[in-house]
Amino acid sequence: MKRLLLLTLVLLFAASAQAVEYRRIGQDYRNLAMGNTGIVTATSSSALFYNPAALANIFNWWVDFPMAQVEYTKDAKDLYSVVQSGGFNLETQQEQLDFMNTYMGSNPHVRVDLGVNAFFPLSDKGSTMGFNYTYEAVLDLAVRNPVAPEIDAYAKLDHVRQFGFSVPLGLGKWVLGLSAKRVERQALSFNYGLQDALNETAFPTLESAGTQGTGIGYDVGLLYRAPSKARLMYGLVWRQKIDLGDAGDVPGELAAGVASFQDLGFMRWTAALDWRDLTYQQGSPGDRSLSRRTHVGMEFGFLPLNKTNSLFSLRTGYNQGYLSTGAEIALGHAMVLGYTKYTEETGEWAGQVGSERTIIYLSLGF
Amino acid sequence: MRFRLLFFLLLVFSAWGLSSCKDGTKTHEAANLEACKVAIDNQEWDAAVSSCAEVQTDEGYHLTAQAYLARGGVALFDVLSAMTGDNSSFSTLFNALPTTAAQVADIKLGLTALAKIEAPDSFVYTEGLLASAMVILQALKAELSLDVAADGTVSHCASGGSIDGCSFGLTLSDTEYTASDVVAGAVPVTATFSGLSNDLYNSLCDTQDSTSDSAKVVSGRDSSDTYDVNVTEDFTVNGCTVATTSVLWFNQWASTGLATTGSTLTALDQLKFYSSIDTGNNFSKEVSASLLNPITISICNSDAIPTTASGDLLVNDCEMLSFFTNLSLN
Repeated sequence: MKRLLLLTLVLLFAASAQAVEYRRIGQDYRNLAMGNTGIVTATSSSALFYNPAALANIFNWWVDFPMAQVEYTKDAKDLYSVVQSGGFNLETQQEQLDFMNTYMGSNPHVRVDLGVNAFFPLSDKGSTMGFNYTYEAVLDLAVRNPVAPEIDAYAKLDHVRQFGFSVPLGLGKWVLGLSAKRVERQALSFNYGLQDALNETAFPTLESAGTQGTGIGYDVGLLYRAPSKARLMYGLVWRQKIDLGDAGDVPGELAAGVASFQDLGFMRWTAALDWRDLTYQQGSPGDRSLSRRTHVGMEFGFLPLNKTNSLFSLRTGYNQGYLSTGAEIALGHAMVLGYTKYTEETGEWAGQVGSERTIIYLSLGF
Repeated sequence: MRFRLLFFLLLVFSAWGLSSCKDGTKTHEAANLEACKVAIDNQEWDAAVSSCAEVQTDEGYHLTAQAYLARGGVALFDVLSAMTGDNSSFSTLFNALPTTAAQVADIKLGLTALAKIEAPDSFVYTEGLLASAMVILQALKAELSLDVAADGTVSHCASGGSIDGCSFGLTLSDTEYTASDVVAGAVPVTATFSGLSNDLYNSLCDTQDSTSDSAKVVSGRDSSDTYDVNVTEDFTVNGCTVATTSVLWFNQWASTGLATTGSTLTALDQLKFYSSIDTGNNFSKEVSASLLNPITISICNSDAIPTTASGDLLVNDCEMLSFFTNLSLN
């Protein structure tokens, strides 16, 4: 292993770590720009990740091929620059100590999503089928504790296949959504400290410490479209926990949301409020922080192109108490270019340790 | 339209209210630990000490100890890094010794926190050994005029195996004898040893005691074989009982632990000061100046100043002087 271990991880898994972040798969640039709301407002492949009943928000058939999303922190950019200029080796004790010394306090995070989506509305009342095929790679690395440094690392590669549909019930006020997802995961999670370096413990690699697992889970969602001037919609979703064995799990969840959609002619305005993880499946034992589970956001779509897309959109919100913003240019479904800045809580309570992240999104389709 | 405007304003104000929706304080047990870690990450040592102290687990004790050690100026990472590899050196350690009473107090609080850990591993003992050794070296520095060369070799006043160059050396009242010096058939000479400093023992043991004797007389002949010489030992021997709060006790605790858990850092062996000090050795000095045959003067003697035993948590000048003349760090 005379190669650049982290370079390999960065390229394959975008790797380095935090222990207390709420980890969810398929977090979407649009929803994150809106404070990570989406239980009611999801309008893309994110519906399959947020609430399958929200597939009813999609009224045009649509294929994304491909969809690509890159999320990173400033530290990740810096680390990538180092890797590009020759990188570093973590094979020997001295190299490990030098790395700890150089990157103390660094906390790079990278997430890469690559996928294909397809949506087929079967009626204009909200009956829609959706398919999604996603590779999601995440790398979190944190070099902590200047007294006795340690490297916390978490890297994973999820291979997600999912199918879902939404069905209006009765006259269409209620929408039921169901989805099934199969997740294959390769993961590497470790803490390598000064003690390990001094004891000349071999640095963990995918070969020596990697885990993998596969699981299937189901989501059941509901939407209620209130017939009022406020055009309020309410959403509820229950997500089954997906056990991936040694590779961890995709936590189960009960989440609720409310949103309002206002069509103002040249502009469309969407506002949403979500409460996630109402049964406290995420976080450390005893974590009952409601602030950390509260999401609020809005979107202004200018020059609507159809019922779901606008030529230009601006978004903002609060995710776990942190401001989020985003913008998007959409040429129908042919090309969507999105940009999001948001902050994710990586500490133990809302407002403790925010990780500022940038997302760039591009999808081509028809 | 008016309704929509009102609704919009309502939502804007709701969002504004939620924007301050941060907890602002610890909400659960794990949050205490994370607060402690964040404070350490930010090198906010006062905050780290108070946050970490709230975590009553082994990890909490360990981090508390590290926060205290850091506040006490112990650069663990730098010192340990410098002691690894083929070019290991004591220079970094020696240059990082505590210089103030507050730093020493913090280091001792750190050691106390380390000792609370129920299942300590080799790293805990390594930290304990290093931190205790730094306070011990600081205490020895003044007493022995310790110095470190550029190559990391440590020298001191007793480096050559003799205490003659030290401020606390054994002195004779007279080394040249004439007929006028003779009293009652012999030349009376006094060998004086006033003891190592009380500060040294207080620093090492947190206690200090003292024993004096001036009764023992050792006889010899002068070098011209003309006069009898009676050397009266006028000794004050200082010492201490190693308190469980002291750095020597922690040094012993860490040394014993490392013997069990092992360590790849061989340089640490030189910092196991307790076992090098509390040896039961009795320092003695051969006096030959102006004498026909050398006489041996032992600092401890069975008449009044007993020699302490090895590993009995009692330390005195006899053992300490023996330790000094064998002290070598490189």
